[in-house]
Amino acid sequence: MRALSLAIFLFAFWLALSGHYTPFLLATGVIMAIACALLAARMHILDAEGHPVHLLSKGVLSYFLWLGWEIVKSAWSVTKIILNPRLPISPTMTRIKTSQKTSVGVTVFANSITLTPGTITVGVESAGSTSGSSSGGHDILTVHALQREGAQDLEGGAMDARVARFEDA
Amino acid sequence: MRASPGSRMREPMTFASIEPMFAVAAIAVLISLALAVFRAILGPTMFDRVLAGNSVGSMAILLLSVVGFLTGRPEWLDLALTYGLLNLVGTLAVLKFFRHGDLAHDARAPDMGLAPDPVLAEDVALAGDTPPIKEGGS
Amino acid sequence: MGDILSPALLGDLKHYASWLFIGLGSFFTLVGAIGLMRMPDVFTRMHATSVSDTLGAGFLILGLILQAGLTLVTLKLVFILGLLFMTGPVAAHALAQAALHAGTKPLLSEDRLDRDLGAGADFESAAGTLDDDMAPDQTGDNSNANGKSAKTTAKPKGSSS
Repeated sequence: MRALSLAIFLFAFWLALSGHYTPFLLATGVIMAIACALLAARMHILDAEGHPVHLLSKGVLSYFLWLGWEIVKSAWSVTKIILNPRLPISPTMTRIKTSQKTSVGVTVFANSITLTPGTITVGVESAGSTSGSSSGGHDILTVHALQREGAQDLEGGAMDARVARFEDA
Repeated sequence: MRASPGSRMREPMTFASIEPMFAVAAIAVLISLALAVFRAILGPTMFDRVLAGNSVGSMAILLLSVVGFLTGRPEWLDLALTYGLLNLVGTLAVLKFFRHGDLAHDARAPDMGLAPDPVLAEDVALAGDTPPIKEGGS
Repeated sequence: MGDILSPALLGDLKHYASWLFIGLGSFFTLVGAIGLMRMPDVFTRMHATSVSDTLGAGFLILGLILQAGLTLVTLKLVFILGLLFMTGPVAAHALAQAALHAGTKPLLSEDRLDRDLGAGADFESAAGTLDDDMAPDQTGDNSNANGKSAKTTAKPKGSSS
């Protein structure tokens, strides 16, 4: 089922990149898409982590619009810092609690933090590394922020809650 | 609404046909690229240079896209896509090389061959992060 | 509707909109590069490049998309933007982790790594430090820390030099 969806996605990608629609090239594209999907299945990377297509049906558009607006806001504040002659930075390291259930959710959260200018995820501490299962506890992210306010915003947990809502929705 | 959708992309390249907005973008990206190269030369640590190299890579992607419009040849965009893929691989390869001194190092399953068995790799991963091998030189 | 939004007017609108977007994209790309030169250490420089990788690239490609119209070129530009947005954080995270692992100490004005992860403590400390954040003496302190030896080291367990 997931293999079929991956094959369809790959073939759509082929069509978009190719731009030539002769029968031979179309047939090649179909064969290649199916072969890649089968290879991915054989490599055991075709799961909810490798091809998270289930996230697509949910509020993916609203999440990316929200993330885009966050990026614009924080990029503007970083721009003001860079162009300020005094360079008013206050670099801060902090730890952020995550409340996502799956590792895909934590990855989305960590990458959203990094994508937002002014904050970078430096490391992930797996909460389940001692007990042996990462599903029970919550992972903790180590974040470097350009300004103390950026770190405090993340500690407030608004972005964490938004990603968790996107994951659950 | 418009006569032919991609008409700008098919005009022949002459000096007079250069669209000023693309020229502005190309010049801005070129200046940024030069600054990133300066950082790569100045950069006190290796990581500054890798960061500058990564930045040069993304500037190059933007420059390739803009030049595609400047010359009216959309084929440049394919080059930009390929460059983007190679940029990530290159950055990760350099980081991995300097961390382990070896591109074939596999942190999850140190003694396996090219493709680690997923079941075994999971077992190793559950034991926690394997401590990185310390290089004697640095 | 047709006589108000004539093709010529639409074309003009598109032209000016792409000028605006390309100008903004060029501006943010330049700002990122200037930040790359001005910032004091690796970690702060990474924040600067992420400005040009997100907003700079985003606005530039948006402007190009307006010029391309609805063709396959637009789709490829969207792919390029998606590629930049997907690979950028991965590279930045790998770089930051590698730098920290190699023993690079980030310049810090505040280290909150050992903060209490309980619910109540965060807001209290946030309220306490919010007002004096951008005060001049604070930044003077900070530049002092950059130049002299008053650095706070980051990770107690990461000091494996």
